[in-house]
Amino acid sequence: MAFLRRRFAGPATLISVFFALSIASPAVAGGKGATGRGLPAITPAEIAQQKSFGMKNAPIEIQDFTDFECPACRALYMQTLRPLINDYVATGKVYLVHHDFPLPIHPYSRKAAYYADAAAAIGRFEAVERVLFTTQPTWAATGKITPELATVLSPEQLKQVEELARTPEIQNAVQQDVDLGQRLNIRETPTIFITHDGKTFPVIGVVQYPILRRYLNDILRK
Amino acid sequence: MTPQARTRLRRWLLIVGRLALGALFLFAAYGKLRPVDSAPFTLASLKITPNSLDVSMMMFAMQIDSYQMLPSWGVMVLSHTLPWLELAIGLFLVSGLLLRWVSLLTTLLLAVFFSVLLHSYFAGLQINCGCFGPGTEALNGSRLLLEVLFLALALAVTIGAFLDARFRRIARAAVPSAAPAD
Repeated sequence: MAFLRRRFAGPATLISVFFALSIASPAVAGGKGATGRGLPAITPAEIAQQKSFGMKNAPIEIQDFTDFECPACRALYMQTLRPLINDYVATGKVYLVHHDFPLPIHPYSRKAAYYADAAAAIGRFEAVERVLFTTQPTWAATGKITPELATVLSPEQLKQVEELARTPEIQNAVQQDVDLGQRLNIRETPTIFITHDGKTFPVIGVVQYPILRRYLNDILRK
Repeated sequence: MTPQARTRLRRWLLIVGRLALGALFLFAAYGKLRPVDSAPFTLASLKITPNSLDVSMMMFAMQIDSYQMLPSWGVMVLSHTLPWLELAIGLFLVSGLLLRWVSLLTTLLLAVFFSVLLHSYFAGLQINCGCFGPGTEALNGSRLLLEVLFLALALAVTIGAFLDARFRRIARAAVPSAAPAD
């Protein structure tokens, strides 16, 4: 027995120590938890919060279901949502919520959504959203998204975003948006839902800013 | 069937056709003009105020805009005139006044609607039709088929209205010749 104890004591101790470390730290065990990698811990709810602009108690809420690789979504963002953010979100009249709805026909849109949500986790969503839409024709042709992100993120932030984009937390956050869109029976991107006084209306496709502005002014005057 | 019975049947069919088409246009106008936050066919949906009209028409404007065919000024003009035009057409069709010309205008308007819907369908736009106001009437094959039926009805009413006017003219012309000369 003494022989056996001596023979197996070393490996048993090693296995015990490794097992204890595995439980304490998912990173050691090869786990992909964001915290285990020294990355910021963030829940899907917090990511959703980071992807929203304005005050939650604004009289109008606009939920935008979008795909970073869809040209119509780019047009809506550049021509309508940017001025909307300046004129209505910044003044507390509209609460704008971004939802990812990457369509399967666009090969890089889900990857772009992962990067955007990862950027949301480190508080850089707005800059990344802007660069993804602005440079869409470039990265949509090659699939090389990170060089575009490097123009608005520091090397450390870019490294964090790349690592976070691979975590299940971020991928689940995108999938939650997709699931929500499917429950709302979204057929096309962009689709926006405008909520005012408890009533919600869907608007599918690109809406020109002068028209959306007049509609918002009318319902605010009501 | 006697010629008189045939004439009577033709006139009844024309009346039914124009009433159906008129009701369709009145419903389309009501859908666009009623307050957007009211449920259809309720008393609240009839409480149309200048403010509720502004909102309804801008909601309709956003639906027209989703077809991506017109500049913003064109969208504004169309969204503020089309519901009233539909209301006027509906009233004229129900009353039977100027039937030939109103039914001809209806056919042309429905032909334009059908072309726009067909173009958008084949362009792959999966938008809401917006034909009867805000809602989720998807632009799909069954929507197009319905539009073909409306167009066929309008064409039938137009042909019927012109034939009816012609037969009445012939009948009127035949009466003096049968009357004894002074």
